[in-house]
Amino acid sequence: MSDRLGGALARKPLHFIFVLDVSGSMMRGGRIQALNNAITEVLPHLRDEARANPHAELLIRVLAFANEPQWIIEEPTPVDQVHWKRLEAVPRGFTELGSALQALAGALDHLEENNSAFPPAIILVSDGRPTQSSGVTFAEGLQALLNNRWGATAVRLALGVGRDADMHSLRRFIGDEEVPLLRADNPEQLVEYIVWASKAASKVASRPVVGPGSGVTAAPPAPIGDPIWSTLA
Amino acid sequence: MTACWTTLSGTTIGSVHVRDQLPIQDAVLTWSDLASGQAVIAVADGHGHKLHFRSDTGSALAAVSAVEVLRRMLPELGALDGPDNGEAALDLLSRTAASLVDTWVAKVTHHLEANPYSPAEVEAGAAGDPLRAYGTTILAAAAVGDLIAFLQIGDGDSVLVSAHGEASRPLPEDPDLDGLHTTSLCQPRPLDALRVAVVDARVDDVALIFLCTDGFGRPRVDADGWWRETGEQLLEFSRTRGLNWIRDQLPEWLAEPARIGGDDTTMALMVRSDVDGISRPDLADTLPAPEVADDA
Repeated sequence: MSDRLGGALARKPLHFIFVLDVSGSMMRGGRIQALNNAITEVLPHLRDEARANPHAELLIRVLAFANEPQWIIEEPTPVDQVHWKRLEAVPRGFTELGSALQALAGALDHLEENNSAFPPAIILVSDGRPTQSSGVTFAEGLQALLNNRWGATAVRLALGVGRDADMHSLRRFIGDEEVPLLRADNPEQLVEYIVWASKAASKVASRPVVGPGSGVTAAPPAPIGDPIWSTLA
Repeated sequence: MTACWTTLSGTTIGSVHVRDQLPIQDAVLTWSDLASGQAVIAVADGHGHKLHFRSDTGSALAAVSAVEVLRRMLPELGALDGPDNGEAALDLLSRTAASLVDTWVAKVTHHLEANPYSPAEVEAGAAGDPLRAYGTTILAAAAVGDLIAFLQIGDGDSVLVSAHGEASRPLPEDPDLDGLHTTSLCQPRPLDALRVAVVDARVDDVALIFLCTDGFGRPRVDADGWWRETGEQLLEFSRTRGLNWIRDQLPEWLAEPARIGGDDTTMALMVRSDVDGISRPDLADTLPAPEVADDA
């Protein structure tokens, strides 16, 4: 019998999932370039978060969606091994967010059944109103996500891009009125907000279990720059 | 022969709290009486979040409160040792749990009166929910003769181990535990989250019990079976190495999950001394507990 009480120990995985809108509207005003820049800029911050949280194994996944969901990084990948390849927006692509959330729920089905992982952190970025051209509705996709144990307990944050972003749907995705919902109106804001959301989600998801009413409490950054995406026709 | 119970305990700060320069948020308190063989153990896990910025105090007050009310309950519980008293024992324990909540609230209120929230804390909403800052779980067990009472609010593990090395969890699951949040003494109607059990050590052939905060179990690779393995090991070690050795090992046993898992890690044990192979009731590491009032 081993002298170590309780058996082997391991760092718990923290699944960090970006759900990114690459619909046709993301081609306007340099939004897709700004999104790529934002993800590129957030990766070093996530590496810092990983180093600051040695008890959590931070694993990245990226799901893009337009007419249909597509995994950009499907295998949970340690943040140190993520090499970002720039996304392209889909010309005239729809915003099939419901299908994306359904695909996300399917992926979460394969997570550990027990408590051996931290709740996932999910960050959704979208610039438009969810469409239903081929797949399920936004409501159905969201319900599929919330029916999943990990989807329901996930730390869910969302960022709207520009004035056409459907903030009502993004709020429903977050589910918690106390959690800030941000809208980026220029590239600088998008970077700032994604960095903020990533760090906030990482901190919340990887901390020890806390008491009731303890969600995301970090204050978001104040808006910077001109609201160019809200003034574009 | 009346059963005699021995207690051991340990606690270690988690690496996340060291990183965040927070004090340890767990608390543990044990009491035992060699003459009567009775014992009480309690562990508490303060939430350690900025909204629960006094949870280190909250957990300490919870452990003190639990030992206080359970000690007071023991004579009455002992009188219920006998057939057909199961419901009465559970009713007594539920009333004791209500008393625990009242005692904790009274101690928190007293602490708050002596240490009012700062204007910044009031601005942040602390005064609107004055108990929230002290949020904590509580797990406790008390033994008198062959009866063992368990009560728990929040996460963590209460485990009993038979003389054959078989571990079991005497309390029902808490459906509100989602792995992210825990039920708490600071929530509205904390008794809604109360779990209680009374076990007859003769029926279940109980050799030892242990309580631990979630910091001990969460980083385990075998998330479903670690507590069985822990129970089996503790019994085996009690017999082959002795309780002195266990006491010496506890700091390292707790330090490793606290370092790897990040959370504070605390364990309290209550070992029955008349189990075959265990006969060291003199090793209790009882900490000074508040005196029970004379009129209790």
